[in-house]
Amino acid sequence: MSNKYNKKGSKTTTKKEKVIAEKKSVTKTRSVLHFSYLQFLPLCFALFVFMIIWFKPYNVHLKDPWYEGAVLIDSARKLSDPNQRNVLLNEAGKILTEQVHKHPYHARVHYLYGFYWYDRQNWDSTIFHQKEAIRLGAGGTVNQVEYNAQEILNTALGNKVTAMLNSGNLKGAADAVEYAKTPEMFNPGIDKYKGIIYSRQGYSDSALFYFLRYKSANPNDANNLANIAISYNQKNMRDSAIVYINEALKLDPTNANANYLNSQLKSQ
Amino acid sequence: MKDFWNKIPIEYFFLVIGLFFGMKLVFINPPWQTNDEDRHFYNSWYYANGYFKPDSREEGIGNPLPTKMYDQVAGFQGIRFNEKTKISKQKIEELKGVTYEKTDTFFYSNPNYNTNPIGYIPNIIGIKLGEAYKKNPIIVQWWSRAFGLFAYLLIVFFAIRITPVYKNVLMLIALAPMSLYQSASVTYDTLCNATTFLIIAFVIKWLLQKEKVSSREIILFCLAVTIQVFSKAAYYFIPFLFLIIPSEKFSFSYSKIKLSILIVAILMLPTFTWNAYINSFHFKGATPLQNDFLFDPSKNLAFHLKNIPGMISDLFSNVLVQGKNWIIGCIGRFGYSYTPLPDGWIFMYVIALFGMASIDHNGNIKLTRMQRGISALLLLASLAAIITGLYLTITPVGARFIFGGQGRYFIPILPLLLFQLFGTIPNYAKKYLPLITILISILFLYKTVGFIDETFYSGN
Repeated sequence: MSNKYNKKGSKTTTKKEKVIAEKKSVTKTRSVLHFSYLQFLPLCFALFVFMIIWFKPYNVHLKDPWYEGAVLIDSARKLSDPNQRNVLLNEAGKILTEQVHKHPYHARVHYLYGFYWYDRQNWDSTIFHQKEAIRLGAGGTVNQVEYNAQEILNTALGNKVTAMLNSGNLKGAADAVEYAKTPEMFNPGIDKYKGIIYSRQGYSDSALFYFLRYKSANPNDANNLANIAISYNQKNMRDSAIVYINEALKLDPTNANANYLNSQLKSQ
Repeated sequence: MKDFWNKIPIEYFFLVIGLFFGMKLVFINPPWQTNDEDRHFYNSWYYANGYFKPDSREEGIGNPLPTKMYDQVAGFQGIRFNEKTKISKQKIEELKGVTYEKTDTFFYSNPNYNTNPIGYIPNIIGIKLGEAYKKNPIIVQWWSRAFGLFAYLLIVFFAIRITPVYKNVLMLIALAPMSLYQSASVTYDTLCNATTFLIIAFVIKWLLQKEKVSSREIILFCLAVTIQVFSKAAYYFIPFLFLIIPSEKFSFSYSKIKLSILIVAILMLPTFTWNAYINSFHFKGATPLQNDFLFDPSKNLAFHLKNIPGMISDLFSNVLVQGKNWIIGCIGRFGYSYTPLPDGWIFMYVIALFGMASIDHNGNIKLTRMQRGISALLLLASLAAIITGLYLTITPVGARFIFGGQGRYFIPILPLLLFQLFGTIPNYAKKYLPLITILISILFLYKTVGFIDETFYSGN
């Protein structure tokens, strides 16, 4: 028994020795892989750069100058005080004038500059720069500028032509419409103004041709439908005129031209 | 079962996790929602159907495209993905019933007509097989995506397998939400990213191996560089990482000079092959992708050279202003709507990458200052080339703000960036690294799949 115990005891001692030996060897290995703060420097540097970029503890101003001009125009539009508005628009104009001279090849810059002139109610400059924007920028697949440019061009043209028509300057209006044409794009808006000018000049056939062509692109323009009715009336085609008056009034019951012609036809 | 993650090589875990979540992304990512995926799909379809020569017509430069296919692809563009506008899974089910005819086509003016087919090879195979199954645009696109994913997983599997260390870092990069999302899409980024990882893996293998580099390995390395440069000619400096390998490891004299010349020749291959082929047609009147600004690298360079300090300041300012977006885009930003994973998740992934890159080594090799210097120089050159390239090529002439720079462009540079931390911190817990890598990958990809489902689809 005692032998057994002794044996067991000796076995236990051997195991203990082994464990100590293993522990020692582990300690030995670890002492080789000692840490130094220098080893952490690359990681700390990487994390530092990452944190700087991530949390942005700085105020870096980076905007393309033409967009600075656009922001000023946008801010000016939100102001009700005309003086303050003027100050901002002046600043925007200064920036965009410089940018257009510096980068005459950028359609977007012409578009923004045209936008500036639109707010200044300078229709000639608006039309000129939106035409440039369309000439340079039409045909892209993404970030298209030409459709917005055409919209502003047409509004500016409308304002210019309406003033001329009201003052009886039909030739001036016709020239303005001719000038606003853009060969790069189909512009139904031009047809509408051509129709009005022909109508005023008494060429009802030509007027009708342009109004109807405009209608195929913009079927829900009540003013144009009223103009078609006026042209039919000029051609003594009363039934057709009534059809278009009804269509116009259905879309816009308060349309002045349609209501006026309607009352005229009813009184006949 | 104990330490099972150490008994099975980590590349098998990569394959299983990548395949599981990658296939989920193939189907959960709405049709043609990965950036530029519509255009890559058209190109792949053209090559799959033998249109290797673009045609010049009055409408532009391109080739015929099935009308029904175009209509379906176009129907998925321009979705803003806010609370009100999402895609309905039911609509996708309905659209799966539509088949296109190759006889009912229209002439598509292709703004990317000059892109070579090499980067699309897996996608082309997918389209061919998909069309044999059913000529439905969505189904064909899924086949194309799946084959892109298979190619990616196979190449990266090989990359992780051959590298003796850095396996966990490569796996974390390759299974980062954005990397896997790109690989499960129709794009040449799939092959570009995968081959870049393979190039880095070869260099690390050569660095650590005791025997000489075999000719077979050099051929494979050159093949990887060739595929990479044809897929996306933008990462010219990365293959030169081989310069950190001691010359004695090569079995021929003037090894580094000879290999450098060979790599330069490979990098110029697209210019003298595909680009020369396209240029030989002297096409004029192509539809520009974007026309609201003038994009002209030589004019842009001439403009900025007038004010060099201003240019340098702009480049640094762009890093400071756009850097965070680039990091987010590199880890996880999805779709044309550029919807990013929540900031916290991106932040944690970057920390995990940095941490893993510092400790994923076996301590057998200590890089010399020269080796560290070369790799740092290549990293800086790669970053500078990408950022300056974006500044001069896809940014309007004279603009300060880099336009269209996306974080995914930095994915191929990520292994090189993390390599700067290689072997810096001693590691006592090597055996746990695979487990940590596996858990991180599963957690982040699980989140990604759920996030994409929630972001792009209505609750149906």
